[in-house]
Amino acid sequence: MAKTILVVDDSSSLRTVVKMALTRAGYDVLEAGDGRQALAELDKAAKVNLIVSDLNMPNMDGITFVTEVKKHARHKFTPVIMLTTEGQDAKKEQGRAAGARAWILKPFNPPQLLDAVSKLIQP
Amino acid sequence: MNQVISTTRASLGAGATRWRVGGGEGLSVRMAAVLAVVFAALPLLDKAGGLQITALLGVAVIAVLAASRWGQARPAGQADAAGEHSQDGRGHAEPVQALLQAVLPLWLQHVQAVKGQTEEAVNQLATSFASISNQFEAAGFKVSATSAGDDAPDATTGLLARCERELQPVIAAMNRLQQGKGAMSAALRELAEVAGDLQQMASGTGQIAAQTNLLAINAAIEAARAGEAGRGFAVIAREIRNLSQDSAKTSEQITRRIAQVTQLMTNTVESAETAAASDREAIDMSGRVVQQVLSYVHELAVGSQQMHQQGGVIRGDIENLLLNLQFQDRVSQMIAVIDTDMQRLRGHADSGSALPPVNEWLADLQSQYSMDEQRQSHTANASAGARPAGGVEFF
Repeated sequence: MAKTILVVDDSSSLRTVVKMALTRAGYDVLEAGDGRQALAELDKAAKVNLIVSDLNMPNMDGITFVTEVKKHARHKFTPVIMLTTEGQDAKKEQGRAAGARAWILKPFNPPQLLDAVSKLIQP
Repeated sequence: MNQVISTTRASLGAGATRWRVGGGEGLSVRMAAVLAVVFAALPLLDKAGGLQITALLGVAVIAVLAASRWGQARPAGQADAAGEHSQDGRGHAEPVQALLQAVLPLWLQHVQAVKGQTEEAVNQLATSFASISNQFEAAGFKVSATSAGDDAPDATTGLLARCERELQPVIAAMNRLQQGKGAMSAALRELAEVAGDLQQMASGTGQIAAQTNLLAINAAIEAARAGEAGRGFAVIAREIRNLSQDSAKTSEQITRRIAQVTQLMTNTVESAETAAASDREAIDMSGRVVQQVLSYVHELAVGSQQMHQQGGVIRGDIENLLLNLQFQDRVSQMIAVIDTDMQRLRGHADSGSALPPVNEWLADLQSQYSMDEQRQSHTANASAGARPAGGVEFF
């Protein structure tokens, strides 16, 4: 059965690009436009094997979202990769402290993203 | 004109002190304009005609402009009665504030429109390109880097090979069939020869019968000459004669039968040979048709392979295009920061509240940045090295 990845970003075109890169590699993809929608998707979904999330989003930003994921009943151990334009070390430290497992700078290229995904995704 | 100007200036001063509750600048200018119009109109009320109206409007406009100019040029000391406005002492609070109130909402709308249009356009582009790429994937095009191909043999080349493999045995079978029929003809010819032999044997038998008959006749003559003693012999001679006559009849029958069989076989051999000739023709034609089909399939295979390679390149280009659309996300973030700061300024302009120090404002702005590019622009440090894109860091 294909593994499921949840992509969280407020830019619809960016979600399209990430989804294309992931589905080519054989993953199923769920989408959400901000942290709140993403949490709703996590509640609904049977099993999400990995999350890719932006940092700057309306309603709920990426750091808060990761913190909430770590409290989620079923998905608290789901690995989270941050995909963001932000390159400051301070922000990266925040992400790491909140529980993110990797940090990828935008614009991304598919081989690097897929490499990180394959290394971190839950079996 | 001088009278008008000085009057408006005075009323401006009055207005500035009297109407200072938020938006004082706007009100004083308006009031000045109204006064200017009134004073300009007075001398023209006698004879109102086209020229007079135009003159009235002209004077009114000049008066308004002069009023606002005078307002801006007024020394800073008079403006800070309520302790407002920027530390650089650039000019009077009210005209700037009025301008900001008027123009900031417009700028905000335009900026929003820019953000909205680029987002919408790029989203549509992304969706379309993703759809095209999916169609290519469904049609079996693999992404390839170049159109010069030593790609692995694709389905059509495999089909060609299969065609050749399966048609060659058919042709071989047809050839064997043809050879088999040839063998049959050969066998028939042999039979004809055998029949010929039988025919000779039959006529040989006939001759023997004839000879025997003569012999019997001679024996009967000798028996008659022998008189009484030859009577027994005469009976035997007669029997022999009967026998030879029967033999002659039988051999005649055999001869006729053999003639019939021979004719039959000759006919068969002839029609077999005719059939063989047209078979050969048919087989040759079949062979030519098969070769032709195989060459068409080969052409198809080559064309298909080229198309697949080019399709693969196109698909690769489309996917690169899609990746490059990521710029829109960065643009949106940059615009969002501008939008927030303009909203902040607008808030101050609308409420007339005191502006924070410049450094504080700039620091606040800087804290909203989410990209190194923005930080570099802020410090006018545009050449601070390339942006590391797509870099992965594991925690």
